[in-house]
Amino acid sequence: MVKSRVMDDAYEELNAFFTTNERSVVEIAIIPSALQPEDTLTLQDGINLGVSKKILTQAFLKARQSFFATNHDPDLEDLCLESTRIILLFDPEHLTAANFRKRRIDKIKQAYSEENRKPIAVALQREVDFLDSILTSPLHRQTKSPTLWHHRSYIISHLRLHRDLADDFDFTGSVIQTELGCVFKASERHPKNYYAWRHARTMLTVIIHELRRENTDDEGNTWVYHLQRMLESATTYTEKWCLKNPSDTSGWSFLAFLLQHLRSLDWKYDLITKILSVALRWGWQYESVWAFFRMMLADPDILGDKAQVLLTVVQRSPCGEGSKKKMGSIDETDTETPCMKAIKWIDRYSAPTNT
Amino acid sequence: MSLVSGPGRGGGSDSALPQELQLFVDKHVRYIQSLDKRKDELEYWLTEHLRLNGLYWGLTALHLLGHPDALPRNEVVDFVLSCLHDSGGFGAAPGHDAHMLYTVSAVQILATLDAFDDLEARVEGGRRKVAQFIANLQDAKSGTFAGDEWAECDTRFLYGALNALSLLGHMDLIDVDKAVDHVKTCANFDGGYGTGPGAESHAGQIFTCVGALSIAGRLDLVDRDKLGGWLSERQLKNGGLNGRPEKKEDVCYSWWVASSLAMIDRLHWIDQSKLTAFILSCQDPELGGLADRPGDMVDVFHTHFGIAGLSLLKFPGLAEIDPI
Repeated sequence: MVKSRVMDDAYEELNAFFTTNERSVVEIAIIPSALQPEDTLTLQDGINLGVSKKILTQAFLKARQSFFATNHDPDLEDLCLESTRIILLFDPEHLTAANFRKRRIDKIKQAYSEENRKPIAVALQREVDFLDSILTSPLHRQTKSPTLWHHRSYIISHLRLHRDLADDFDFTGSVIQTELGCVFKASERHPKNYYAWRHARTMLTVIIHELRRENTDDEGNTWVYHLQRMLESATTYTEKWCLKNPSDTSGWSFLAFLLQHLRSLDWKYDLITKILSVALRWGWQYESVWAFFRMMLADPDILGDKAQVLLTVVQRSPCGEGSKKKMGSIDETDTETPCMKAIKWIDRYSAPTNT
Repeated sequence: MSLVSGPGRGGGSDSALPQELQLFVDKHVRYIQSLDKRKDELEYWLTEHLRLNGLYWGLTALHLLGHPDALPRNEVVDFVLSCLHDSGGFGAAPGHDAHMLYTVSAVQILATLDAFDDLEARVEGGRRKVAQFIANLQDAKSGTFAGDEWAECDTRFLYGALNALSLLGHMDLIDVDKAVDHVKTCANFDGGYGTGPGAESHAGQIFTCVGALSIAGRLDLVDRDKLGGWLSERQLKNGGLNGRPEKKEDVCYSWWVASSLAMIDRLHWIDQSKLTAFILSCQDPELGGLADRPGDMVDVFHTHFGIAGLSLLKFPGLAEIDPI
């Protein structure tokens, strides 16, 4: 009986924390049991929560009981929804709990009308805040959860459709920046965060698709102009992050993705030149950096003929000539640096360009 | 049946490699058998969301180790069928939503135990029903597959679908050519494949794409040298394999990477004896099981993929595995 009281109390305390702060993005950390407070089950300081794995597990056990007791009863939907918060905090791959939340959004969406956007807008914002709390908190496993990131992609795809603002392009641009900010933060918590970056790609792909569909009678294709400006902003934003996190292969891979969607050759050339000059100045030998460059310089769709100019720069640099100085993931016993290997790879795989 | 991690750790009591590089078969068998008996442990509940996957990993590992009867067949079949929904899909555990991932594991378990007749006996037209659930998840436009009604698309699900449907004998229910076309669009310039077109190359996703093409008989579409090159870059100095540049070695990549290389006839592009030594160093020689790398906690997922890797590398005493 003592055990079940701890379960109930742990659940109540965590549940109350979530409810009190439901309009905020909170920060949750797992604290070692040595820091377990004597008089409370969790450590709370405003929007910050510290909980031990033991207490969180107890709360989860209660949450899952509550979930399975209520998930088929429409009258108990609110109670069930509460339980999903703790379930997903403890076990972010709990598909059934995540699906419950999506089903509820769908129901609200069906009641949506032009005159009354508020319920769906509020519901979507609550989902975003909840996801922000888990995906950007220092929770190693949770920040990389494919289930939560897919849930986020689902929510964001609805956010644009239920916007309450007049200017479409401005709003879309701000959604992109906000989502990228979330992805960057999650990637700082969990480097090479595959599903966070996948969310970034999904979001952009959906936006591109929707803009195309919404602007079929835009004969001047002004939407393309706006889209390209948004992509350029996103690229600059991502570039800054990559330069601060050079060993994060996922960041570089996403940057490559963006560059594949940009149309202005000159713009791309200037950006890649800038990144290359940083890499060469610091003697970067990160495998991830050179995996990025070899693609950019070998793929004819990125820089066309101009790639050769940059390739020559690389070949003549100390990096390219075998200098093992400075930073990166170098193995001292390797005879070839990542840069030298990249040059060989480019030589082998660059396709002839159309002139 | 559960997937529970620990209590053992890979690598033995100190981090040095054992002198004799042997595989502790009996210990691993006992470890897998013990997993279901830990219902009182909290970890049991943490892994409820993938119970059926865990069962597949444990069962397959036992078969590879030459102990196919170590888990009671009827209990396993009963549990699998208790996860079946009316829709024909399987959830991770009773009461959990149906999804491609668990449906594929269910089909694989039933195939391993030769239990499709058991399915038919309990559910009329069961085999077809399950196949139809899977087939209905194909996206008619793109050819890829969703995991469930919430439309997350991922090449993992495409591979899973082709794998399960070929086991069920119902590839006729889907548009294989369209699925193949989709995989083609997932090929990246660096030779790798991701979850969808334009996604980051990842060894796990490469396995799913190459596996799908292999099942469809379309390996001609792969640039074998380019991909082989990318995959061989995954081997680190300690012999272990990672899944992407600058990531740590992880024993499960012994399967994803090695199997992909085997499918494109490039397995000799990595140092196989070094990889074998690495996998063996991930064992817990006392309590059984394998961990992702020496010193970490063991779990059934890594146990399964480590042993599968060893089988692929033709480690003596293991049942032979097909890269697919």
